[in-house]
Amino acid sequence: MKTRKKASKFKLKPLGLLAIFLSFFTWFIISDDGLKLISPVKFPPPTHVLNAIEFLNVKLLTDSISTIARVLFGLIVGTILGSIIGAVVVFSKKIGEFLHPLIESARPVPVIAMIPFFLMWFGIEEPGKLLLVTIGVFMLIVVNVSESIRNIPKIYIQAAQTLGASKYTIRRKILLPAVVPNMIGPLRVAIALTFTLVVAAEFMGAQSGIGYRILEARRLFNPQVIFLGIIQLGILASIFDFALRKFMAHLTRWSER
Amino acid sequence: MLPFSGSNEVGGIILENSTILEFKDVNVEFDSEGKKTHALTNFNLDVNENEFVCIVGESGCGKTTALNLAAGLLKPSSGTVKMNGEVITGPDSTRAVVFQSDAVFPWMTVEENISFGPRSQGKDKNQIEKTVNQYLELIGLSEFRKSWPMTLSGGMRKRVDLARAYASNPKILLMDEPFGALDFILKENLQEQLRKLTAINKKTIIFITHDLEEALFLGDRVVVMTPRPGTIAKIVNCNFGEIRENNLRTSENFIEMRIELRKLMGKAPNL
Repeated sequence: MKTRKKASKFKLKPLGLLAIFLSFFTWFIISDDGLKLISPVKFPPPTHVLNAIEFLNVKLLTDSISTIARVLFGLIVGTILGSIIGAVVVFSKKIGEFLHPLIESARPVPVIAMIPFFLMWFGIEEPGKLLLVTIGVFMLIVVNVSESIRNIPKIYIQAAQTLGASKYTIRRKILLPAVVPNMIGPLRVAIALTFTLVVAAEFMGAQSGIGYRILEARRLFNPQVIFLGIIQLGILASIFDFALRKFMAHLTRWSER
Repeated sequence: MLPFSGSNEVGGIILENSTILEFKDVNVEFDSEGKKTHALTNFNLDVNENEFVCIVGESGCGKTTALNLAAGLLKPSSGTVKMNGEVITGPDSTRAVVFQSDAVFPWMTVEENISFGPRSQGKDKNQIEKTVNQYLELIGLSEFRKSWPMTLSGGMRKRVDLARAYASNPKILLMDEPFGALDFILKENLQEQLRKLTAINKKTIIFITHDLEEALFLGDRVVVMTPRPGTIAKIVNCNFGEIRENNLRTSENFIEMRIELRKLMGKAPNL
């Protein structure tokens, strides 16, 4: 019997750890803590960033929670709405013809261009931020879902039809599982996009969140807090990405990927 | 020995074999970039119930087009394709297809693949379980029932594909070069198994192939087609018995027939 081993994608290899270590090491060396090659104002040294952790204290947690909540909302609602509309556009020829040109022309427009409108409509309240993020994710997912469904090999649908499957059965048992592997890439892009948009939304005004903290630190001239925020975002986005890959790997455990 | 004819003689009474599938004056034309291609011209064929018909011909002779018509995946440009006297309008579970390429659903286990047909048709749970066990045993993959298709070899997947088609209990099985991509030895063994299976479990089968030996080994009747335009050159009866074994391939009768039909299929084009 032939069996194929799954490549261990999640294991951090020594070489990968080395790269991370080297970048931190370089940071340490060139900064004020080491050879003092760059001014601490322009690029804070590690010790200042560590101090910032102490300085922010509990805000570190509350900011993370605010940002995570916005990310989760945009990601989940945007993906669900995008998937539904993306599928409907393929399943119904009429609705497809109706919506396709609109979606295609709206899609390339950067959502952040709408920020002034959101500010006018919602001020710095929560709905504006959530809407911004959701629209961004929606536009990305809707196209990818349509495209992925269209790319499913026809032979599976034909085989199912000749085996007596109804339209509903084909959607649920053939198209749904077949589309999942094609969505791994787009969903990973969606995570990165969501973090970008949440930070942009927090820049436009908020009471909490990592983006808000970064903007506030700029005003208060606190470069170490800015840097800490960047690291915080990096860690959170990585965790999201890791969780998604784990989850998708489970859903596609039947595939060769 | 009389060749197999269109009728059975039972106690002096001649019973007409009932026609299950009927192609009548079928023409299929494709439009490709403004150019018309005649995929199938004046195609007439009656397939009897429980008959194993092989359609053989080189690529471009329209054999797959004929199969797609029977499946309901394609409509004729003119003429009719009828099943039990009714015009075929689309694919349904009375006619299952085994495609040339791998159509086993990779996201379902072996067991789920085989039970897909009966489940889709809303069959009773116990009955499905029984059917699945029966076919798993028949194809010798009982221990792989929980396996993902990607962990199986190409030959094993093809057997799953066949079992899935059988388990959906179609009236007609349509096979489009199902063994085309398999290696020689495996192919011969699968042909033997398929012939055995049809002897036990009577089914109407239309089997498409470009391999003349395969057609003669499997078919009760062999339809030889020629390309440009795709049309029937000859239909012959292959009276080699119900169960056929691999040594049939080297028998005198078999080889003679093969040589004769080979002449019909023409020469290879100059390369």
